[in-house]
Amino acid sequence: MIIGPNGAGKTTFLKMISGGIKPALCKVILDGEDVSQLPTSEVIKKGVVLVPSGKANFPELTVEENLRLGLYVGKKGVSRKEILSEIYDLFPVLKERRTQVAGTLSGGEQKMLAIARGLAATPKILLLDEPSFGLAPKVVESIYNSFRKIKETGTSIIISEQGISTALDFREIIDQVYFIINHEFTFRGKIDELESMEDVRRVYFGV
Amino acid sequence: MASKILNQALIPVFLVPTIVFLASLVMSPSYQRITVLFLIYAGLSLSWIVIFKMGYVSLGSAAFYGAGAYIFVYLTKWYPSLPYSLDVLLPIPIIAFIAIVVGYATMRLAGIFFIFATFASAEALRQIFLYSEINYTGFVGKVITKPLPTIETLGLLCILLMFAGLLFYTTTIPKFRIVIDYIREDEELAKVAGVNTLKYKIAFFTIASVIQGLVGSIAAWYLAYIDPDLVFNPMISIQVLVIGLLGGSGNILGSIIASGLLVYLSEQLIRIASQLYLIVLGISVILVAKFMKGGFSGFIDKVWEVWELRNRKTEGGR
Ligand SMILES: Nc1ncnc2c1ncn2[C@@H]1O[C@H](COP(=O)(O)OP(=O)(O)OP(=O)(O)O)[C@@H](O)[C@H]1O
Ligand SMILES: [Mg+2]
Repeated sequence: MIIGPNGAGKTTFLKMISGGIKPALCKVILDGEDVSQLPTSEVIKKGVVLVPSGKANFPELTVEENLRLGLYVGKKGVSRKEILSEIYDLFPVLKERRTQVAGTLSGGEQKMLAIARGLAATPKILLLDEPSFGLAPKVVESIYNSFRKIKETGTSIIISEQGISTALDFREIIDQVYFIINHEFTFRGKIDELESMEDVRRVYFGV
Repeated sequence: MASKILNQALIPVFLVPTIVFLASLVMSPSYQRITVLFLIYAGLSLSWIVIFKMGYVSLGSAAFYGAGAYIFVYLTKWYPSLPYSLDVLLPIPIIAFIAIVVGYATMRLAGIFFIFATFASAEALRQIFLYSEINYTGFVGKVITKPLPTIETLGLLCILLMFAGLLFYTTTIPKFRIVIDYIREDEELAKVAGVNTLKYKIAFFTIASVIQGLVGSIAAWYLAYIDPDLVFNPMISIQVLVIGLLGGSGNILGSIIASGLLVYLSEQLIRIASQLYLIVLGISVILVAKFMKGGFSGFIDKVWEVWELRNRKTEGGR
């Protein structure tokens, strides 16, 4: 998980490793291969998928059409039916609403759909930009619970969050925490250690 | 179920051009001539619709139409031993190449810039050909010796209309429909979602342009005379746009009906006064924009929906 305040550079970082922004000075290495200059469509086929924060679905397409697009852009040679049924197992509410247009879903359901679309591309690494943003605690909880299940399937997840509280609430599913501020990573380690860091205390607890 | 949908959507693609062709066989020569014109515009505007579906309004139909016409005529001049039937196919790779270059340069432009860029490319071609004809051959215009008879022209244009219909049909297959919807609605998001948007845009733009070019080649073969003002005429691009908007992007029938209507109207009105046609053109666009958002095809789809609904009801009542 990547934690950093407003404007720290989280979104920029995630865009960079998913092919949305081409870095000038550094490289993104995936399985020993430099992928930093590849377009997003290629990076996705290599297994890195970004679920952006904010608007992430196509409001006029149905739930299933949104998911289909995830399937189309993903790796070739996988059973699309199987993936779709796995996704519906993970988010049963999406199955109920699969013929509904995405624009009429609730905020939480939209977020689930965005994550589901990312999963439909069968990523090795799923990048989630501020998945808890603007959602009620109950919804955040159910989304984070789905991360637990996604992790069990062998997909790695990189989450960015502005606040530290979500990370503290779900500390047991977080293996590694990075702290970013002023476009620079200043910490890497366990969540407990982060809590006691001076930088973090100053930013989040005002001491 | 899937095959049923597939077949249903394909029926008009093959049926409509066949009916038009058969009907044209029993027409008087003057109506056959109008039908040729109608098929020219139907082919051009159905291709235009495919570009329009991706959110791009093209004013460059004349560029590809004219390019197809000129390439064909030059081929007949440079390689007199080749049969014309080959000359009409050889422009395909050349136009595809031009379309890829033009597409690559212009399809990154948004909205209004794309309109200008396509309009400008047609005008540029017109000026280039005018200039080169005046300076190198000394006179404007090119003539070919063996024009294509009307019936053969009608046949070829009907076959081409089937290809245009097939291209349109491709845009309704779920995979492509979703990608095209994504590109039109929110291209940035489509890119983030992993769609190689430029690849799809250029692919559809190129195929549509090749069909427009082939329409031009066949038209040149039929007319047996071309000059830059005739084949790169900006009025062609404008009429294609109007027909496209009138027809709407819901199904292939829309732009086919709109082509028939406008071509027939223009033939009738031009006889009275040429300005009258332009006025009618303008007014009809305004009316469609105001009262019939989806154009003719949107209207057809609505009627179809109501009809199906009623059918279902009577079945339920039994
Ligand atoms: N490595 C960097 N070097 C220079 N500028 C950067 C770098 N990373 C990000 N920025 C700039 O910092 C600004 C904020 O970046 P970004 O949107 O990534 O922040 P964020 O952490 O996602 O913020 P928020 O929590 O508000 O979404 C942007 O203007 C971006 O261009
Ligand atoms: Mg951000």
